[in-house]
Amino acid sequence: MANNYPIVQQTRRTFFLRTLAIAGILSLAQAGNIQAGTLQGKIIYHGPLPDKEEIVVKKDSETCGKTREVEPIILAQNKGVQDVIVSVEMEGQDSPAKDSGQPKTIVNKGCRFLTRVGTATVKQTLTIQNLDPILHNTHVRTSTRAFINVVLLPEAMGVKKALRKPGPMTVKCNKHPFMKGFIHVFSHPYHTVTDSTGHFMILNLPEGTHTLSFWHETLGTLQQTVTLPQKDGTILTIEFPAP
Amino acid sequence: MGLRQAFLWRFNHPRQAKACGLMMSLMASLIFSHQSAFAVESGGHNSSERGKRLYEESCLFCHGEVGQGDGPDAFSLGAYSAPRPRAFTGGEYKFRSTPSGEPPTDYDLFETMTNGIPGFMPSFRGLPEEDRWAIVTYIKQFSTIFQEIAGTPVVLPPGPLPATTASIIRGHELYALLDCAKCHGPEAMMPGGLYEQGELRDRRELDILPRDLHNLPSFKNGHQPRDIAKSILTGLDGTPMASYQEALSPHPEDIWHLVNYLMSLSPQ
Amino acid sequence: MVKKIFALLCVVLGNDMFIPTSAHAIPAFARKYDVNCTVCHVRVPRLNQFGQRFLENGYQLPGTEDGGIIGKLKYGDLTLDQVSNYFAALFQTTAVQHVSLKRKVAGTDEKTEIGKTKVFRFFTAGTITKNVGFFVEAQSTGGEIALEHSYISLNNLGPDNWAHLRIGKIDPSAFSSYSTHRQHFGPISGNVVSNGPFMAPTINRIALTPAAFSSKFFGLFNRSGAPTLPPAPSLYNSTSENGIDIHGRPFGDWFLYQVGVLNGAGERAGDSNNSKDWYVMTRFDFAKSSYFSANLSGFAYFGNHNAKVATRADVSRSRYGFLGNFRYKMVDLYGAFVVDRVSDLPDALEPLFDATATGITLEANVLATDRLMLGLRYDHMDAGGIRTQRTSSSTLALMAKYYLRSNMAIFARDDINLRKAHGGASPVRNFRNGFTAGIFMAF
Repeated sequence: MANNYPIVQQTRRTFFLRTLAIAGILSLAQAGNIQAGTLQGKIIYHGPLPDKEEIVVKKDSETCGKTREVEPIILAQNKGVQDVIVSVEMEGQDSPAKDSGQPKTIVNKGCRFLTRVGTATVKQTLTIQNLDPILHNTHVRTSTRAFINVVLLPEAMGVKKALRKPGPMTVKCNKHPFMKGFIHVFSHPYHTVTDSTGHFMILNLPEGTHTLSFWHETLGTLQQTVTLPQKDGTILTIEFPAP
Repeated sequence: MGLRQAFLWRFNHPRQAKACGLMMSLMASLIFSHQSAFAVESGGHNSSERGKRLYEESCLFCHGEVGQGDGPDAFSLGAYSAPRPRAFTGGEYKFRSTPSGEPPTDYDLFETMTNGIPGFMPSFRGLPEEDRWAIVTYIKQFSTIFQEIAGTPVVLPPGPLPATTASIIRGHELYALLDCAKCHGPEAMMPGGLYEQGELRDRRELDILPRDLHNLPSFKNGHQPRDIAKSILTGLDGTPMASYQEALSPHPEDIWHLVNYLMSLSPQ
Repeated sequence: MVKKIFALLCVVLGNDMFIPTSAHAIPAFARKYDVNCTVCHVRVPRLNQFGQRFLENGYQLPGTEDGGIIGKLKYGDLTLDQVSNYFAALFQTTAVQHVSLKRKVAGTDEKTEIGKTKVFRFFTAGTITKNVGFFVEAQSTGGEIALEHSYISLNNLGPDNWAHLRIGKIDPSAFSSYSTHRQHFGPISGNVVSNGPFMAPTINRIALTPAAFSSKFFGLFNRSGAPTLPPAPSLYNSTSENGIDIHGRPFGDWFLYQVGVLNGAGERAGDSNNSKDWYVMTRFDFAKSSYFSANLSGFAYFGNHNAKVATRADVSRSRYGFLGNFRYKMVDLYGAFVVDRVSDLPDALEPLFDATATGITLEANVLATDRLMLGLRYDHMDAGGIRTQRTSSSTLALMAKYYLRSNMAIFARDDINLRKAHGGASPVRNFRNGFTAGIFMAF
């Protein structure tokens, strides 16, 4: 896949035009008209739901609340699963995307990480902020080592650090052990997280057959191949089996 | 190449000497004065065979054949609680002069080996300097992190400052402000709440005890003012002890007040 | 004179048969290097691999010759701290002991005894200068003070770990896979009444020691006529014998050799038999990662007129053994199979004397938590010696040992006789069950 790079570039060059086109089509016609190169999907789950865990907050409860409810799976009415990381498998991608766009931000607010589950691209800058009136420490770890473990003063504007390597990372606050988050870093820009209804969309995906990976903190990992362009009006629906 | 030789080598190159001298005096005032002379000297010790032999004689029993921290004696050292021997393969080190997430400098590794870790690792001062440098080179090859990032020492503000009463009182304030009590206990009477709740874990998910701040000689990363400042500013990666560099950035000299307070806790 | 000696022997043997205890740990080294005991010990007193290499290197860290740097005493500014880096003490006592017997014997009622055995050891050890180590130990057991093993070691003779030399009162088995002296299960003393020189003693209750390392023969005496009791550690597994010993790892860490010469007559001083015993041991170390270690050793010990029989004739005791140790994470397994032979027997005695004895000792230690260690030891002695006296034994010991600190433990153990206890004329197996609880401290 070493020659993927030019294709990506080409796609990007036409990105602006395509976006215009989408906007035009969408404004004119129905939502069913999907531009080739855009992948749309939905993740659902019908299995049993694990019990919600209620943690008693022992310190800083003025800010963090007296208790904290942890939902192992956040499910919408329509059985859509929130916070599933969706990514395209691109092995051997040796020229990571350069633009990376906006810095990726982790905000400590109300003793929660916003965003709690996120994705990022290599070379993007990770910014860690604290909007709470109390101290937090944000401990981001790769599978083998600390990426950063830093204490933030109340209302700290933040620490910045460039993301260097692809791979999954966990985010914790050692001062408030109930705070947990996840960030997956990829060497390409084709990744996203499902919204509260379980929907996701990846833009500008080169046409052809791709393997998609789905990761959820409780439900685990799934893979599925998909061929682009999708037929008009279709939404790829993936169902997670019960763990 | 021993330390002294490394130092001389620099001045054997006349053109560099002047610039080096200037740079060094500049750096010495900024970063750990003892570090500046050596931190730059990484990778110059090309004695991999020797390093391997020395490692296998002296280090393997705890750190394991391939540096995974799983030597035959590693388990009984910390059977069910931290610390266990460092896994060099992870590339994560507690005792650094570099920011959180960065690998240590060669001199950090050399220093840990030379001073040992109170309670857990004897000092290997008995090995000649060049042997210790050969081991530094050898353990670095267990992790690719040393090729990916070159650790740059954190800049310490000018100090240490004299341990006046005012300084110690300010340090005591900072201890409360910076939430040190969450782990080290109110008035540094450990263990604090989080340990009792079983919430403090190391990278292996083993229970880890916060340092007893009333026992200065037991500080693992050294107990000189600069060592303590280093631990607070850089954090101990792989443990819940985070870097306070950002938190202390509004008033960098505060670090010395905090150090003075911590040092005042132990009997002289 | 004879009567006087006899009276003395009665006191010594009748009260607590003298068996040197096991635990060796040198907190002085922990102080010197500023580390916990667990750096060198799996749990005190048992050494881990690092501790074994430290011992082999003459009390210098493995791979180093640090005696000259860390070990050197500076006479100018000698502080208490520095002195404490060279001296250590060890205290072990059984707080409670209850032994149940099959046959009641005067003096060994089935009563619970409090504070029965106290062992106090005082030793000084370390390095004088680079590659010169020393060990001197005084031991007090039940009022008797004796100089136990004490020696000088010259280390790193030749390049690459070729040879290390020890001279003095040494413990030969120190480098093997199963050191005689580092027992979690200390010896449980027996009850023996001496009947005079070269007379079979009355064994009311046999002492409990690792069967593999014990003497195993009934009807042997030392050169002054005192009985060599079957449970006493001896020969290669002697606790202290005057001798010279060389060991090294010349081909790398996987192979250790050891050769040595001892006086061998089991005497505290002197060498009345004017002949030497010698031994050779090899040890193979493999698997040194993934929390796993394993080693196997074999030894042969050749005795030379080192014992006497009742007819006062000299005999030679020899020993061959196979030892092993496997350790994985919290489990430590080790054991020994040892064969003893008596040769040069007088012709008249030969049909009455079983010249071969074997012993098996298997031990398992499990670290249940950081502080709690559970132990299990199985001993089987297929005894030799005078056929009418010899009685084999099999015992099982269970123990829980709780470490309050790494240098301090309380323990409770139970010893079970696996065979049917019987009385009779040679009531060596009078023992049924024994419960012991005590404390161990090293400081």
